[in-house]
Parts: sequence; C-alpha cells; structure tokens
Amino acid sequence: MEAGQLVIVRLRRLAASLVVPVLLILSYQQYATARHNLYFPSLARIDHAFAVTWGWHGLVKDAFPSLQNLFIGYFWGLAVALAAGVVIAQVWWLKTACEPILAFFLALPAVALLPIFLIVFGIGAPMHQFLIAQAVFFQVLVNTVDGMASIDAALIESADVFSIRGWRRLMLIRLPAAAPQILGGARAALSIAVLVTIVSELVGSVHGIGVVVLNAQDNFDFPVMWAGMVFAAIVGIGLNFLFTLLERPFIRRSGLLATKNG
Amino acid sequence: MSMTTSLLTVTNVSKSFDTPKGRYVALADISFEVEKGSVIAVVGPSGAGKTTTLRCLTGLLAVTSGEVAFNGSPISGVPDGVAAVFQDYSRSLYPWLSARGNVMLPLRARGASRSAARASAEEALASVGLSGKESSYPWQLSGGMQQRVALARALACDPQLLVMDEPFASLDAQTRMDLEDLVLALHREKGVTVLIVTHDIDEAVYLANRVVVLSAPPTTVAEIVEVPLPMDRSQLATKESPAYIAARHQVLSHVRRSASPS
Repeated sequence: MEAGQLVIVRLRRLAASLVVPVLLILSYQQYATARHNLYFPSLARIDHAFAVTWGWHGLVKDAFPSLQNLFIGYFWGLAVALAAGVVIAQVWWLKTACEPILAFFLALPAVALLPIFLIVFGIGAPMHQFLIAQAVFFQVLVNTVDGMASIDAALIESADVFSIRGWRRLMLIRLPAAAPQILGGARAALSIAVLVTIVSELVGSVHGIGVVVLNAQDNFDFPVMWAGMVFAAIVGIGLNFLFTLLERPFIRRSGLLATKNG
Repeated sequence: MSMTTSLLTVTNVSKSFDTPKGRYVALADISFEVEKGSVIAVVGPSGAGKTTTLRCLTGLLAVTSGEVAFNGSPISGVPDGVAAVFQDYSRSLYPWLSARGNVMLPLRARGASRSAARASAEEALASVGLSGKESSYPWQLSGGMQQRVALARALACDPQLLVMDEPFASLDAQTRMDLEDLVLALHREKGVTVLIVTHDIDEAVYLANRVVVLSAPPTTVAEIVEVPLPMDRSQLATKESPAYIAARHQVLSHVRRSASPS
C-alpha cells in the first residue's frame, strides 16, 4: 500500500512539474506554425538544426573548445580562490583590507572586464580562461572568507580545549564547517562560468557555442541560432546536475542533508 | 595526603569586560581550590557568571587579575590535562566526523598513532556505554548519546581534570540521571577530578564533595558547602538521606540569598 501510494505521489509531482514547460513548448509551437515567422522557427526545424549542428563534428569543433575553456577557467578560479580565501580568513587585517575590493569585484559583472582581458591576452583561449577564472575566483573567494569567518564559536571552542591546531584545525574543523557556504559559492560560480564562457565568445572568436549562436544570427539561420541556445541551456543544466552529484558526499558528511531529513 | 593536594587553585580571580556603557565587572573576586580526586560543583543564581568563571578557570578566557594555577603552575591557555564537556553537545561535536572520529581527533592532535588513537577511542566509547555506535554520526544519535560521545572524547584524553559546563541541562530528566550516575561511576573507576558548573542544585549536591555557591554579579564566592556523603551514591537512597537534604537546604538557601531580586 505504501510503496504504491509513494509511486502515485511521485508521478503526480512529476506531472505537476511538467505542466508549465509543456504548455510553454506547445504554445510556442502553435505560434511558430501559425505565423511562419522567420525569427521563430517551428520545433521541427529547430530539432533538425540541432541534429545537424550538434553532431559529432559540431561537438568537436564548437562545444569542446567552449567546455575546455569553461573547465580550465572554473578549476583555476576555484582552486586559487580556496587557497586565497583560507589565507585571508586567517589574518584579520588582511580580511579587513581586502573587504572593499572584494565587494567591488563581486558587484562588477565579470563580462564588463572583457575589453581589458582582450587587450591584455588578445583573442584566444587564454583570454576566455582568465575571464572565466576571474569571475569564479571572486564569487568563491567571498563565500570562502565569509564561511570561514562565520563558523560557530562552539566548534572553535572545542578545538581550543582539545588543542587541535595546525592542518588538523584547518582541514578537519574549519573547512568542513565552512563547506556549505563554500559549496554554495562554487555552485553560483558555475552558473556564472557558463554565462561568461558564452558571452566572451561573442567577441572575436572562431569556434565555440557562443560563436555558433552569433554566426547563425548574422546569417539569418535562425533554426541554428535557436539550436545553439538550446545546447547552451543543456550544458548549463548538465553541469548543474554534475555539481549536485559531486557535492552530495560533502553535504552528507557535514551532516546537513541528514538534519534536514530529520 | 593525596586527597588534600590541590589540582586547581583559584586565587582572587576577577574578570571585567569593556562595553560601550563602560566597564562591566563580571567576576569580582573568586577563590577556591579543587583537590585531586574530588568532585566540585559550582552553582549560583541565574546570571551569576558561572560560564565566565569556568572559561577563566580553563584558560579559554584570560583573567583580568588574580591567578589560576594547575598543578601548582599558573595557566595561560588551556593546560594539558584538562578536558571539557560543554552544554551544547550538538555544537561541540563535529557533525562531519563519526563518534569514533570525534573521540580520535584530540588524541591524534596530541600525537597518538592512528591505531593507538582508534583503540583508546573505542575503549572510551565502551566506557560510556556506546559500544556498537562507534561509526554513527552525531546526528544519528540521541541527545543523551551525543553527550556520552562528548564525555568519551574528554575521557579518552586521560585528563587529570574533567570540566563540565551545564553538561546535562538540555537532556530529559531520566537521561540526566543516567548520565549523572555515569559521571560518578567514571569518577570512581578512573579517579578523575571533576569540576562541574550547573544551575541545578539537586545535581550539584548529588554529584559533589563540595559545592561552591557564587553570588550575583559582580560575582564572588558566597559560600562553600561540604557534602558529607560517601562517593558511592544512588539516585534514590542518597536523595532521601538526611545529610543530602541538609546540604541541599544549605546550598539552596545560599543561592536564594545571593540572588539579586528579579
């Protein structure tokens, strides 16, 4: 009885969550087929363009360079931010001194720096990777410093009483205690990284997901443009899903998942 | 002779805090001794600065004037040989470590090998009745069990002085009695000296050889009451004995006298 009911509840929830997307897609299709608007091609044409554009050849030529920039930029931004965040959080005057500049760069949209990165690095992969890394860096850095600064005093007091110092204090107490906030920053940074990857390709690049979208628009090839946008969305959703899978063990170990579930 | 050797000597300790409203004298003048092998309870009216006293005595907080000596030498910071159990077990245990991991961490920090720390941790967990729960995480255990883990963590360090800050305040009455008896049993078996801060007068008299009654702030020692009972105590017989009732009466009347009107 309980298993059956659970399945019904799950199915009902799935159905409810599908209502809005399905309605939107159907209304788009209705609009597109009725109007024959050049800019809004029918789903069949987008689907066809998707299959043609994002076949193996398209993946190798345009998706792989984008994803490569994305991963390299994200990795370095994350790694350097974690290291810098740990150091800044330990030294109170460094933290105070860095706060204004951190607030400034966090508020500044990363793509606003595109012209400067173009001048410094020229056109090419390093420009994209540094721009992505820079955006990820500030997002993760601010969250790491905040997370390490707002650790529950009781946890630190235990560490004091039991003389837990040095790397054990950092790796086994402070970092796990700050992990939920650091992971939150890393997740937000991933979305930003996808955005910066695509937007930065709109300027002077030869290959990339953003290039495909931009070129298709220039050539009035609107089905391909739409297919590019759908692909970009799939990349974003896919990476977010991947992140959820990778973060799960950390969240579970920090006891948060379990306390939420009772 | 060994019973009269002082393990912790508190001499004219005062503690003031600078606040925006001026200087706040939390502790005016505290002096008492904790003899080796004894159980000392510190009680006082609400807001008497019991926790501040404890933090000064363990070196977590620097005193403004006066001296705290452990084994005859003045302390600066938490001395080796002192272990603590805090009131809020849910915040003093590390949720990302198992019960065993929580107990092992201080031992590893003191340089014990992994296998030695593991063996001591499992022995300590067994001594508080948690055999079979070694791999459980704190959030998988009841409040009483979590406080047993905190007790095991303190005992595993083989401390000379076990300091407890309202350790059973957030537990239900039945669990609290079980843990009080556990502390007495561990005291008898291991000969560890115990300093317990509590707001519960019954608990203080039931556990202690001697009860230190604090006054309202600026806090002084209002009275020191001897409890002339053997250490072999039981929740039923001891609490009905005339000596217990007399000591309880004496402590309670001092607490009520020293309370500021509320």
